[in-house]
Amino acid sequence: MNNLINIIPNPDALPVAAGWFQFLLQFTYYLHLISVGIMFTIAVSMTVGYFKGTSDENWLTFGKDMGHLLPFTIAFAINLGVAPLLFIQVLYGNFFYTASTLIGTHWILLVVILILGYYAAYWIAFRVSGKHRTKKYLALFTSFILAWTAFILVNVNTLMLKPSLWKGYFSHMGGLHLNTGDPTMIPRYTFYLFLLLAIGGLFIAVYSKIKYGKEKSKPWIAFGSSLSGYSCFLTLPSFIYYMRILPHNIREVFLTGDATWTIVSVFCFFGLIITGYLALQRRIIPASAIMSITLIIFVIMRGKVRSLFLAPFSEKFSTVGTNTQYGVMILFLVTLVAGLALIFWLLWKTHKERKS
Amino acid sequence: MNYPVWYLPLIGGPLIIAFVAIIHVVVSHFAVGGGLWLVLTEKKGYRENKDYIVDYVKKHAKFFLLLTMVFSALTGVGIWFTIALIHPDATSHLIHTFVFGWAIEWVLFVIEIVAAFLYFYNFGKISKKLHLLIGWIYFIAAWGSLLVINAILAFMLTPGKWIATQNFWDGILNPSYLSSTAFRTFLCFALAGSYGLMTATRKFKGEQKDELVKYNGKWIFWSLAGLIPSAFWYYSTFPKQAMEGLAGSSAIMVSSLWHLIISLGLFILFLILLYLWKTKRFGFKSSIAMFLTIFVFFGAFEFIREAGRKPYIIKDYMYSTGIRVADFDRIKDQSILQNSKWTEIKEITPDNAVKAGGEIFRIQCYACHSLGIKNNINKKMVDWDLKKIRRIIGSLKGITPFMTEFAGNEVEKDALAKWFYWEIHGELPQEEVEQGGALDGPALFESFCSDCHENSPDDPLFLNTSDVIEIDGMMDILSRLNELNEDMPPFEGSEEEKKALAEYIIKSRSKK
Ligand code: HEC
Ligand code: HEC
Repeated sequence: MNNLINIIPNPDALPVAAGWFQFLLQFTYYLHLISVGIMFTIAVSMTVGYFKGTSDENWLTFGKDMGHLLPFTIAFAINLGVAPLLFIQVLYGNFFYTASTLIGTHWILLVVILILGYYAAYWIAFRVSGKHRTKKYLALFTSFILAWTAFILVNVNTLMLKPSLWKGYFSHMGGLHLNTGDPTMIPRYTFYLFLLLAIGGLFIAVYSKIKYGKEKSKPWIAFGSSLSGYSCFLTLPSFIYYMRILPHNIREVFLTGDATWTIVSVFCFFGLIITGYLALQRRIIPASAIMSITLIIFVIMRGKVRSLFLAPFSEKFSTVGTNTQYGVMILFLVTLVAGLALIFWLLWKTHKERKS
Repeated sequence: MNYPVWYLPLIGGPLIIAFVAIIHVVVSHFAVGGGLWLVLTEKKGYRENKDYIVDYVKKHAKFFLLLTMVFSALTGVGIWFTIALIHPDATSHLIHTFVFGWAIEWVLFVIEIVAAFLYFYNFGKISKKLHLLIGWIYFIAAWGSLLVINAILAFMLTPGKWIATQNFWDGILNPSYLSSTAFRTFLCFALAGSYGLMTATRKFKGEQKDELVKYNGKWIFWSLAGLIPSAFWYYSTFPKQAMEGLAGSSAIMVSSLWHLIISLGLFILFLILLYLWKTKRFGFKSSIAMFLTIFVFFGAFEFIREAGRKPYIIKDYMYSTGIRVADFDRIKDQSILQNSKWTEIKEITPDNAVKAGGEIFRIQCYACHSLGIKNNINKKMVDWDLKKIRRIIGSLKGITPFMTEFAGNEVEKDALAKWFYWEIHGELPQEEVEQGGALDGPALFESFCSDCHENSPDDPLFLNTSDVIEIDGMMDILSRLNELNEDMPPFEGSEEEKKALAEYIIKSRSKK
């Protein structure tokens, strides 16, 4: 352990107390998670739509519709990812940078790959004269890119928790160090894939309900809510497996060791089950409500897992320094509120004018 | 220092940064300038009641949407990924100092995206007034993010009072902040105008083309009217060493400066042609060429800014190698290997010296040098013997003020020299083989002095010794080189070589 402490980079001081950043990190990550769920599921549904659309006009229309949504959702998912990326660097930069260096080449290629994916999405949506066949495969390609992006992110986020795996650097320094040697990585990834579909499936159901009107929406509500419902249940094996292979002392905390965290993990588990059940019942509004709350619990739980993993290295955590910046933080919060107000005002005003 | 290095020696970190950064800065500046271009041009269309202009704006808006959404956002994240991989110590430091600056920029960015979508999808669907307002909001948000991010870039070059106070606002409002902001703002406008010119010459014919070419010409004219004075203003806020670099002490900076001047000259020439030719003959090809010149101008400028900061990553605070200025002397006295977290070897023995040298290269030199395409030092060292490599490592700062001294102890210098030699020749030299005989003056000069001195009468080597005419006096100087200037290595040749060199210096001076 002592030896490991030595290779962990020294932290820089925080400008305000860590709790603020924890809150900002988890809050913005929550938004990011939802937007990624929506984006990923739209990409997958678009792909399904285009593939089934070869022989079925309705599916094709649906696929095209999803295609039109995709570029926006990519833009927002990325945008909402920037904030947690910022805050995690503030809190755990020394762990995070180290992990991202080990995986550096894959990490940097994400940028290239995402640009390709976005352009593909854009092309599918806006190139009216594009061939169906090309679009079909491009859609598959885009979905694959998004899934790959999630894979790399899970790699970095698990690798940063395990300094014991960092020594591999000395046998290869070119940044190809995927975290495949870590048993927690794969279940965490599969859990996410299903969680994203569970989130996005509900979005598609709600969206269809609003967009297509009572009769026409039926098959798409069914599609979205079934996708979400089954995906909810499919997260559970990964969830259980992940819990099982967590180090003993961490698992303990969530299973009876600590009353609060035990309740949290139980809520998270049953939250998924209830959401799944409601979704399969086509009760999409209650399902969405439960899902939103479950995700809050999930994000908090995820944060706790991280801090438990890193607890042995707590002397390397960033702590607040002497040079605090509370004034600047308030300026940021004011900007945030004002910015959101401006955005809502713009949306409302535009909506009103478009109607009239 | 503190972090592992993402090590791709054949490419080198600086090249990767340059590649991502140049795309990102051009695109993001373009997005800012384009914002203003869109609203002003749209307004013109409404004012003069010309639908084809509004249509033209709409086409542009689609392009900007695509551009700001994808390229600007993704390459922005990309440049962030890149610097965190290549300069993690500095990135961590910047993030911890300016996190709320970045957070504010993020809010502006969210506004920018929403506004861009609303702008594009509501052409003709909402009132002109609201549509223009959305355009203005897009532009102001985009420019606002330039205000924030440029503060951090300017900070890295001129941290000013921050060094003493470590205060956020001192860092933001640093000495080159306002001047660089003005410069970049006009650059944004020039880029937008040049792009407008390309589409105008491509999409329109006849009178409409005439009109729009002139319109964009006017844009460029006014951008230049702001750009050129603000460039001088910006220059006046440069740190002294960067100014000296431009004046001649850095070959790279001088060559970038020439690129800058020539490309700007060509850009202006195109503008003049545009008016002389009365826009008729100014077609798509000319406008592409014109766009390329401003692109080169921009690249050269960014290059100068980056180079002018060396050897620092944050001027006067942290070196490119991630070593803090405050720690430098301690590390130099102790050991670089022991003070770096991510080295395998901590203690050098004769058996591991070469390998240790490789580790030292990775943490001390790789930040600026590669073994491949860019700034490859092995190529320079091909003809050097081990002694010479070792000597140069001992006096890096003397070669150029854009390097620091070697931050490590004598044993580590030896190890690094051995590694270089081994990398180049695949083996170490046989020890104790004296290359006797070569008492040839020019060759001695070449081997001992030419890395830092030129064989010309206006070099300090000749200038400052002009009063020494005796061989003995000159030999005395050669014995005290390291006392004359701390960045100069002591003379390491034999007594005969010293004598031969002294004779040569005196002789060649009297000839000149
Ligand atoms: C802060 C960036 C930086 C670092 C770190 C750095 N150098 Fe340099 N080095 C430069 C620059 C800039 C030049 C000059 C290039 C030019 O002007 O052509 C240079 C030139 C050189 C040259 C001269 C080549 C010639 O033209 O004769 C040698 C040798 C050299 N460096 C060796 C090293 C070694 C060895 C290290 C590691 C101990 C190192 N450098 C670290 C920036 C750096
Ligand atoms: C590693 C770089 C380096 C090498 C090699 C080097 N010098 Fe210098 N030398 C310098 C620097 C830097 C200065 C200061 C230049 C200035 O003042 O502009 C300097 C200055 C001088 C001066 C003027 C000193 C004064 O009083 O101002 C003399 C004389 C001189 N060098 C002689 C030599 C001779 C002879 C050699 C070859 C044996 C040599 N140097 C090799 C870096 C070097």
